[in-house]
Amino acid sequence: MGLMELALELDELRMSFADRTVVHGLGLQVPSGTFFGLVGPNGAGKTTSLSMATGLLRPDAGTVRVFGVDLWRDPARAKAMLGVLPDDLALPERLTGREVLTYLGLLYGLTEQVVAERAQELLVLLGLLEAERTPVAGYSAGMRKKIGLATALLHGPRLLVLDEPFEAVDPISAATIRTILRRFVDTGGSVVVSSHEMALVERLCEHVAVIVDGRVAAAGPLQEVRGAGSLDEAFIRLSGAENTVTEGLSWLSS
Amino acid sequence: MAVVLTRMRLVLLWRTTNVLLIVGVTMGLLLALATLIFGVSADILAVAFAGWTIGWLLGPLFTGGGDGGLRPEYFTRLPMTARELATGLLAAAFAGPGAVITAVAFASLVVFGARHGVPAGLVAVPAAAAQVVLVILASRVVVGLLGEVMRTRLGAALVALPWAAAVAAASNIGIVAIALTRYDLHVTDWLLFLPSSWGIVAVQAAADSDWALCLTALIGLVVLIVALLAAWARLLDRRVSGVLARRTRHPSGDGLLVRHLPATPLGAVMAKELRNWSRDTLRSYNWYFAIAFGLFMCLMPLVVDLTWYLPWTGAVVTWMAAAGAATLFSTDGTALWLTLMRPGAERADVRGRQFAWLLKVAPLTVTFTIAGTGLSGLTWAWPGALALQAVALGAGAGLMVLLSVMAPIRMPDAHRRTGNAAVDGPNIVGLVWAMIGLIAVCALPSAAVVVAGLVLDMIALQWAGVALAAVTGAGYAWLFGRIAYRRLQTAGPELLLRLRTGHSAVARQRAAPVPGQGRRRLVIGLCLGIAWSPLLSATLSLISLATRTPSRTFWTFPLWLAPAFRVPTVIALVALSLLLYAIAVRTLMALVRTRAVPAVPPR
Repeated sequence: MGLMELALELDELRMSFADRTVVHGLGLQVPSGTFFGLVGPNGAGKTTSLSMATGLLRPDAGTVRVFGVDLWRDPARAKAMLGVLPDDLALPERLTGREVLTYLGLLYGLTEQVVAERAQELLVLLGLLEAERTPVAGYSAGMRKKIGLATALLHGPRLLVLDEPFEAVDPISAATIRTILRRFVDTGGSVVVSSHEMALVERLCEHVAVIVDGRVAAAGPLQEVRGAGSLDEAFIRLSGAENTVTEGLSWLSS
Repeated sequence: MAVVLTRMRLVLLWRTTNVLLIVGVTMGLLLALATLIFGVSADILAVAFAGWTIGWLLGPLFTGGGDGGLRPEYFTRLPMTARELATGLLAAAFAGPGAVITAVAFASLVVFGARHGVPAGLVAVPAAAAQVVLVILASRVVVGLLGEVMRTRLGAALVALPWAAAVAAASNIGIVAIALTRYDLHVTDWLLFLPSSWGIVAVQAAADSDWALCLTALIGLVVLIVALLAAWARLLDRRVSGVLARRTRHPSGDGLLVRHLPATPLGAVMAKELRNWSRDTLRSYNWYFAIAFGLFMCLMPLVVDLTWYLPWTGAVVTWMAAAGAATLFSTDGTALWLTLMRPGAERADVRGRQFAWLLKVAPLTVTFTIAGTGLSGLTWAWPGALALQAVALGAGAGLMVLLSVMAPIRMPDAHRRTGNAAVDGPNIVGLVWAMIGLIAVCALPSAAVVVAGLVLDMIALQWAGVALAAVTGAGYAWLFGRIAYRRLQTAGPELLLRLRTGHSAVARQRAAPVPGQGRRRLVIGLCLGIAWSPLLSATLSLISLATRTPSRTFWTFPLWLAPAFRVPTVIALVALSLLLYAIAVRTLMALVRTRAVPAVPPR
């Protein structure tokens, strides 16, 4: 492949809270123009790593580069290229979807007309037009994901970092989101998603990384990481956990 | 069930014990002991019990629901009726410092009964117990009712009225006392009819061997308790079954103001904020509370023909509105991430919030100030009222963003709130007092000049105070806003973490004290404490010079000097003041910077 441009480069990221270390020197390289999947067991540090990678959580140590720009040293340049969908963070909840997009677009310095056009297009595409007059606080979990995705796309980023974008989303909307993301990658964009759905990751991503215990257990092209078996099997092998429910819970039957 | 819930409550209580709680418990115990010692007559007890009851009814709204962390939602999955849940939660409610303190206070009824013989003493035991159950239960029912009412702006306004009236009356108790004596109202006679006194009535009747009345009062208490328990069970059922949450209201259209804001980052923030001010019931509640409190506070004295309060109506409302906005960033919760993702937006975010608050608060409060002062007929009050109004607006606009950035409080995100201020709102008592005190400090220089003008009977000086208020007010808004957005720029992720998790990741780094922090604080305190006096002295001397009024007070000491030295001394005084202010600001900036530093450098 030779020397290829990296959309996102994490180097030696470390983070500890109060008494425990959550991320131990995590390093990751996301090639430009790829669809990159991040998988790992619960509590492996995925959300913490993605928060650090997007400037929402300051790492104790390590660097984050977005297309070569150090995110924590030059956040303005790096974040302009970045679109983010964090897991479970609030939006301006009292505003309607269109009002949220308008507010953010103007905050990004887009003109009123551009904001209006893009907001309309995104609302139509993501099927949020029916909820035109509902404040975001009244959205369902899936609708929240969709409006979150719209905010990530609004300013035309080069790299999307999405934490669990398919969680709680219905199959039709999931197909829409997949199409949008696929098209984004086909036109030169780069996407990083974290997900628990292995089948989905296998279908979408060319590159994957398995995070276990705050470290990268394996990373690379999908074929290499999963080897001969499925990603599911590779995941269970790498995370070092066997299916432990072989006995017990005998009372759980009627 | 009750035992399990009680144990759970005690564990939660143990986990959340902090200094504030310890201080509160100590103060509560002192009050309870005072009730015990001074509750020697039925009249005094009636007043004391009414006071304790009002405390239980009003408290939860300011201290975060008073459920001690046991949210009814936790227990929805358990197979039990709402009634069983209510009974269990009520039992758990007794396992808290509040209930224990109240029990100590209400034991005064037993002491009172014992003084009047054995039968009265025996009656007093169940009567006191019923009285304790009654206040705790009533407190829960009020929280539940708030959830029902506070779902619309109108509801929020309606809830704010009685609360504001009670707090205003409590903070103006002298006027209430004067009014009561003037109109010869024997308030204790009336108080005995209230449920808070029924236990006292029963004990007194037992002492007088009026057994019919004694029994009626006791039965009355029991019936009331049963009725409240049923009401609470019903309210709990509605709350946990999602009846309340299901209603989603569509926001009303935008006002003229929002539609004409510029399409810039600043305009976008202002539009968002103005919409929030009209759509968020928690904010609506705070705003209507401020208005109602100010009006009650300043109109109440009219009952005893006192017009002295009228001119300050606008300033008082502004003061309270600022206090209610001290959690501005906290109420938005983790939505802060959107600002962090857009570097450079921090400034627009802070300034936009300030402007929106001013647009919301200034028109009404300035009207109040002008109308109040005009109607009062107190011409001497004009400079003072205008000065306080100006400085309260400026300092309020500055301090609300500063405090909410410096002291973030974790709250449920808006989509997870119940809409009930008593359940969602955290304990903001400390912040409210901090805001009130800080605005007062900010108002000191201009107030001092106006008062000096009044004392010395110099009109020009009084109006100089108004000008000073306008200038310092604008200065406060600018400076505090600047510190706030600089803080967001340097420590935004840390603030987000606090709002997200309730604690900070940099705690361990802060464990090493920032060198020179204590010294810097001392310098800031000294400078701000002293800086206004040379300025005042200079202004007074200058006015005396200009108006050729002889003055030999301490403040006008430059006039004691030989004529050639007078003006240079005045200039030197002004320069000294400015220098001190500059040192204070510089030191403050340095302090803010060093505090942010330990969090900054990822290599």
